[in-house]
Amino acid sequence: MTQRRKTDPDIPVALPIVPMLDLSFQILFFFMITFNPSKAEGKMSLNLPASGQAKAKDQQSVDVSKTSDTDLEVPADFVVLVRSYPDSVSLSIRSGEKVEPVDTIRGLEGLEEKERREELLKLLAKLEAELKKKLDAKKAEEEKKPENERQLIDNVKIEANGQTKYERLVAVMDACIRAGYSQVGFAPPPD
Amino acid sequence: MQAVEAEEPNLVPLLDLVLQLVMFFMACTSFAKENISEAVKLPLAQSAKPIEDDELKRHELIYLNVEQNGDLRIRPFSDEIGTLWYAKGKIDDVVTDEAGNPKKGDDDKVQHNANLRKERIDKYLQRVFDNRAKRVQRDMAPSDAADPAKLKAEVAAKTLIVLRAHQQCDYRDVYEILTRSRRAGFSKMQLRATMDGGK
Repeated sequence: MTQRRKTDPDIPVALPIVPMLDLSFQILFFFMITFNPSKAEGKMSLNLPASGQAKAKDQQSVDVSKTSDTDLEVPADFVVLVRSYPDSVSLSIRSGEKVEPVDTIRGLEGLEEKERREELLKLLAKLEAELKKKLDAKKAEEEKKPENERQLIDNVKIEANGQTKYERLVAVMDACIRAGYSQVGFAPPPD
Repeated sequence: MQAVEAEEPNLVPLLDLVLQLVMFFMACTSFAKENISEAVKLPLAQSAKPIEDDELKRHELIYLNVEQNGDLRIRPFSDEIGTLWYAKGKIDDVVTDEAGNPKKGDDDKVQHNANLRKERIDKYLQRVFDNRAKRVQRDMAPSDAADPAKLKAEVAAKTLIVLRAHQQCDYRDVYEILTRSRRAGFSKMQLRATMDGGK
């Protein structure tokens, strides 16, 4: 016993591991607390046709004055007109010259957040139903044609006013995609 | 005979593990912030599809973060001679003088001009396109590379623009960015949204 010295050559205690571990745990807890996994991000693809094609196949003469803006438009039969303001949203569908209103909701500013969202969802459900009807009608029409003449254009364009909030625009895009359209294009804001 | 001493549990492997975990969390926090602006709160879209990793790998990604007021947050990039462009990482509509400092109006407040922002976005996108063209050219066959139409098509095919716009930004700002990207020559665009059922 008396021969054993403080620093026994057989068991050297050079490194104080325990305090190091404590510090490591501190750092670990810090990063765990600051770790912020954001909401899962998803994508909505826009694959636009090459510039020449879009202009050639454009069936509607929308805003002829803004010639270069036809770049974002895919050839489509219907245009969903969105007029969104802080207090009201109105949706209609235009095919050619005919404009069919879907519905309008007003008095949004006076509502609670939850009610606002519900009203919006109801409106979008109506839009989805209308669009689906039109798509089915289109499909039925194409079925009647002989095989080699079939040309299903399941694209739709959205024309929203400049001050439409992006979240409402995306909600309308969402409704179009749920209705079964595969490509959604954008028309220049009329204002 | 030596008695077997009860040894303390070996702490070194435990420390290694803890350090691994620390490194993991450190890495997680840094990579996300490069291209994703925390200020941009994405809208919710039920039809948003999960992001496919291999699509991301196949393309060169250009992240455009649009803030609530329409300002664009971008990543600075260096061209083939090494100049760093857009070091500030932001394209806004503030009127500036030649040095880039904001010019104050008569009321001593910073002035805004929406058309300025549109022009700046145009210039930015064209620069990005040209930069991409130079890089893509190196990987193309010399005969194809010399053909401007083929070069443009190649850049459009190999570049993906990821648009992350804030929920509350105006449609006109988003539309401007989309049209100008199109005009610059890009054709693949992706709008980001939060998926239903996300945290």
